[in-house]
Amino acid sequence: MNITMALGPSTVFVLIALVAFLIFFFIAWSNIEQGRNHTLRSLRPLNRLRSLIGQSAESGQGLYYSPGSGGLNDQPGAAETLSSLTTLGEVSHGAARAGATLTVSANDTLTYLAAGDVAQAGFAGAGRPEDFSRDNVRFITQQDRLAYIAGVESALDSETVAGTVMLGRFDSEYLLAGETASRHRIPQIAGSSRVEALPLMLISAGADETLVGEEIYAAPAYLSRRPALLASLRAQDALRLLIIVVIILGVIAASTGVVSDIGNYFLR
Amino acid sequence: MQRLKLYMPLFVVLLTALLVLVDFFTTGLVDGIGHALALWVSIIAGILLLLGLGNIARVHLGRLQKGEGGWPYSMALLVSAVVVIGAGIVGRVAGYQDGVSNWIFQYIYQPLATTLFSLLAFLLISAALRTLRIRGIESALLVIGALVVLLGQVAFAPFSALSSISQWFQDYPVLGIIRGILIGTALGAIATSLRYLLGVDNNYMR
Repeated sequence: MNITMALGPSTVFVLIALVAFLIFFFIAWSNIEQGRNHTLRSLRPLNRLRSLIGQSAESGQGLYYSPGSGGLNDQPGAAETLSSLTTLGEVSHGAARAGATLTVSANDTLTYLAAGDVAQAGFAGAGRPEDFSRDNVRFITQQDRLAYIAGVESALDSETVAGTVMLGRFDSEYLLAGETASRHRIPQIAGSSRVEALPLMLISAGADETLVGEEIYAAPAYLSRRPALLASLRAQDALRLLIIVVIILGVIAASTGVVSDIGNYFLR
Repeated sequence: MQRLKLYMPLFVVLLTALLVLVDFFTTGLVDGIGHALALWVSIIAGILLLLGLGNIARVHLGRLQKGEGGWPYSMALLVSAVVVIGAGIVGRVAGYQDGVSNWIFQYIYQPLATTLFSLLAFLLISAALRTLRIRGIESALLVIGALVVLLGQVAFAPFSALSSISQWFQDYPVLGIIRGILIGTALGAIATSLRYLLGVDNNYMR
């Protein structure tokens, strides 16, 4: 058996990024466990989310959570959906503690089942498993974005909802649900990393209620403050700094003619 | 038993992640395992679809039983589901293959989906009118930027001078911001995936 490393420039870059991330992650985790400072800048949409959970409990109206119109089986959006499911865990935990109810919908069978488990674990973790019903987790469609959003829109139209939390992979179809929520004056918390959805979220939900790009990946750490999640935020920042340094060095190298065609090097 | 229930999913996640990573970085050791696992996921998702169908049927049959508001829509949904599933099965059995299902999709589903999608244009205008109000310096800049880009797309002579400014906006500030978002998103995706692969983000089993 002939085993070789399949390392081209692009795979080497992935390997370096993975190893660097793991090193930064474990250093940051150890620092946080030792009680070193880990202040986070404020994210207004998450502050709004916390108050929305409180309002939901006070008004007796439920929150509507959507983990995106992508799904766990939708490869480009799987990480976004995973992050949204982690956020769902924290939101359901918070909702259970506050005494609010939560309705979750999914556009994919895997997401539907995972969302049910995560929400159930959130309610159980808050010591109120009896407040959670599997009937509040709804499978709407199987990977059909438009039909899924039509289902969400219909639910917002016909049910009394205190607020919507729609975090995950969305495209321009988000506006159908967003504008239905706006029409009924339902407060929205939205977030996506898709540039197709972000402008529509900003105009429909509002700038203070929209998590932009990577902020949806940071949301679980902000809400839970668990050391492992905070460490991954720190590692992300460290890796970002590394990438900025590489970009600056690359610009200098390309501008001074030290290397040519550097942009295509990593695509090989 | 409780401990097995806790550690078994973590073990499966870790083993799967290692296999996929080894497949990605080497040749000749576990070739094609990534594709095989992706195929397994598709098969599992196909089986789980029955659970999803069960959930839809339970929710809408419950609504029909209780006579809740909007029950005619539930009726329409259940009838449509039965017709489409029946058409697929009967079409196959009768030798029409997917002809009947394809007809339903082409002449019923697609026009409906296109109609729904076309609503976006009107919703976009209403949302933009609500948002693009000058309340301060930031919103004024937003309105000016939006106007320049919009008018830059117009072919008529008075506005054609704006097209180069509009193009500049899209080629430099907008593209720069989009790339920034993409880099941040990629980092977030790496972090989330690794957290799950390492088992530190395991809220599905807490």
